[in-house]
Amino acid sequence: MLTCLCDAFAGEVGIAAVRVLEAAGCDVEFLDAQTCCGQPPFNSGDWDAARTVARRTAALFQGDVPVVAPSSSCTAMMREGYAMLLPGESTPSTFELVEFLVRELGVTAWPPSPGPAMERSIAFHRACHGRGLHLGDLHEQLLSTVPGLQMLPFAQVEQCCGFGGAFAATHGPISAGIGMEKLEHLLASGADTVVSGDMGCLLHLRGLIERHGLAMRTQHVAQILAEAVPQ
Amino acid sequence: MKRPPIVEASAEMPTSTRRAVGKSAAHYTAARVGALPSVFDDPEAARTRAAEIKQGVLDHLPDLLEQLEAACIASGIRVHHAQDAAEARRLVIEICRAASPAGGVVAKAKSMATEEIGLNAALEEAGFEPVETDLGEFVVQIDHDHPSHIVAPIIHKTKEDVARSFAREGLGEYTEDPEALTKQARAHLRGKFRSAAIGVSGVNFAIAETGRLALVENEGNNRLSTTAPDVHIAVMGIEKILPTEEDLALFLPLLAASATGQSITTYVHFVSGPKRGDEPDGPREVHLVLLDNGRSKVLAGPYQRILLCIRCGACLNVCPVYRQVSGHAYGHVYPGPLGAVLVPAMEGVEQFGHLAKASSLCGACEEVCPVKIPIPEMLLRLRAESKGDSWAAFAAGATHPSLWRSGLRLLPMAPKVGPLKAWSEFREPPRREGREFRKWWHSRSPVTPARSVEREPSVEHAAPRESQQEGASDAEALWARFQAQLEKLQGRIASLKELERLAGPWWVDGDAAERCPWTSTTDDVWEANVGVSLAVCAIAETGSVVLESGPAKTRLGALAPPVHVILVPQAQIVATLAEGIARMSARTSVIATGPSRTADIGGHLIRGVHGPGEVIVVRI
Repeated sequence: MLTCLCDAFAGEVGIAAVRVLEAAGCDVEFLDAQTCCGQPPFNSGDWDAARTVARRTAALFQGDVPVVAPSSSCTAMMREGYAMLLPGESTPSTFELVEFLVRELGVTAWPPSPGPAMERSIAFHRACHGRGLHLGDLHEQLLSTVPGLQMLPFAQVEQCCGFGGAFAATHGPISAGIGMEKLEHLLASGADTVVSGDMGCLLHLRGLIERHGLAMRTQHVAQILAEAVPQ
Repeated sequence: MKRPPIVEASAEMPTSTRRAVGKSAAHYTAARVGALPSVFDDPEAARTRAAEIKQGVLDHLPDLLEQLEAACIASGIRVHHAQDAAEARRLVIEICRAASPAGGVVAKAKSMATEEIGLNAALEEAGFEPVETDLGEFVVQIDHDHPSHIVAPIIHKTKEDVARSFAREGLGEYTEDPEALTKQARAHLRGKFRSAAIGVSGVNFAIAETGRLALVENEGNNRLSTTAPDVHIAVMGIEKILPTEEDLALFLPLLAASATGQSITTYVHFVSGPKRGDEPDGPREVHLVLLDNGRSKVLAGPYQRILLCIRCGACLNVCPVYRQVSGHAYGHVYPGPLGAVLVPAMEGVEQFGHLAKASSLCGACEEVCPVKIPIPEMLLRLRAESKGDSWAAFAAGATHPSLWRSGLRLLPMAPKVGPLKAWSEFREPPRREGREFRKWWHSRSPVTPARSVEREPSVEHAAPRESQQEGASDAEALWARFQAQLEKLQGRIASLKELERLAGPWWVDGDAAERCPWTSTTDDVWEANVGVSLAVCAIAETGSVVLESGPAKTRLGALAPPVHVILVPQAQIVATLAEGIARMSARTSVIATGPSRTADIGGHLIRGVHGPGEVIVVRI
């Protein structure tokens, strides 16, 4: 499942996710009829609208094929959100990309076949929806096996970046304030790139970085993993 | 676009305030993370157990309340029921008037329940002088302010703020030294404790089985407020019950670790009724006001589990929104994630439903909650219950793929309208970079031949931790552990001989006098420099001592003098908090752990705020 943010803004992340899954030995299908998981109306409190979207998406992805999204946010919606929104109804088995690689495919090191060392230093920001999925430090564990990739530590890793979906627009000053604090810690790590598993966090952080002229760029974890795969 | 109330309310907040709140909140969050694994072999199991016990309380609340009331009456505590805030205020004032018709000082220990009912204003109107004795609450009161945090009331103030307030009130020479400021407050409030006819406190846990009220604190002001005056009034939300005293061995460390990263608070005061005939001090009347004020309504509704809350404040500390806006912006005495659920649930979504939207739904609150309250889920349900914007158009688009695709294609080109306009006020709008996924997908050559995805069993991540086996330790090993814990808190162990050089005057409890060479050199405990008590036992795992009331035992001897010497008989050492609790008699008791302390002023840890600043244990 491609997320709507990748669909609209970050096609390269979707492409990278496909490359990564294929490198792990998967056949990837993409359903052109897919739209949205329904999280925006769900989080905003319009559950009727959310239900309409969620039922359609659940029906579209029904079957035995696992659904993989490059986002813990959409995954959490389809796993936990659907359970609240559509109690008792069958919903697709959905996995976040790295969760799928590690917990479902049993991948313990990346890339699967040796590639060139990367020589990069990054700071990894855990997207908050990973909490509900119990991802813990799964991303960091996998990234730490990528040859030449150095992950720099920073303070208050548990803190949110302040995105929060519609919250970013409705509570703009608070959302931006949280983001600036996050960036302060990320910059102090010395990394030139912040990597995360959710496009929401990354678009928000990038918007702040550009507005304030900060020296940092953003990349999705799928892009890092794809980069590590030998061509 | 109209800005949400919380955005409006926080708009004018100075950066220094936000920095102060953020710094303290981050400190408490880190302390909690550090403390839990050192206090519990399996913190996760402890949280699960605590949630189960509290859920059991909610499931049987009417029965437990009856049991509690009967047990309280048996121990001499008078029980009152208040349906709402007005009734609670009226009850408290009636008790105060009966106890002290001429008015006078009401010493107040920190209590969110009394904040909730607005007791101070009512007491003033009735002709009393309520004096907040917790250091932070005292600052709030002299500043005509409100607490901005349920555990750390002046988290929003710097030490410079406190310095200016104290100088303005004439408490002493202007100083920005937290220790000197603390001493000024101590000196000022001493007189208040001595002249108060009435003490008012909250309750952390009321034990249904025994009718005992457990009050936790670090400064000693709570114990002084509930010991020195003739009348003690405790105000408690009806949900703050635990079934048995054994449950405290779980909840006391869980609360302390979650709130401040301590393994136990300096004092846990166990109130078992008024002073008995043979006891030298303590209040002659103890009243318990059971406050409903909307709790029964919450109990019967979809947000019931917010009543599991033990008021540790961990969800406030970790919350990124709370750190940005501080407590006042929530517009209620209960701020943060806890308040964002409790307040609309208690007072209605019409007035307070907007608080549920003031969250990025990051889930950190649920992750730190000691009783596992699913706060994000309840915020989502509150949002659904509040009337918000319709997303019908969005749903229509998302159920028509061609409409959806053209909408998405247009989105990056329209940063000045629709959802991207509000976004762009604070950030650069997102742009499309690189290829479009769908175009790329359709341009690919047919996929490579099918390969089967080999599924492997899930990886085991959480290897069970070996629980630390407490071997059959002998008393010496337990004493060594006790000493290590006590020294961590800056307390110490000494011999009787070493104490000879302590400056008097001395206050020695009757039963301690038989065990040591000194006798009292003063008969006014407030004048003593050293107080000497005989403990029931020492607790190795926490470095605590258990002190009880009795014929030759004062409560104030352990509280009023700056130095507290505690005699513990050699054999009276137990390993665990649970064993220590089991050793307590049915009389009013206290578990005391190290010197009195506070970190209210700018987060600086100061010892000896209201209780003793020096604690010396002597094995006898």
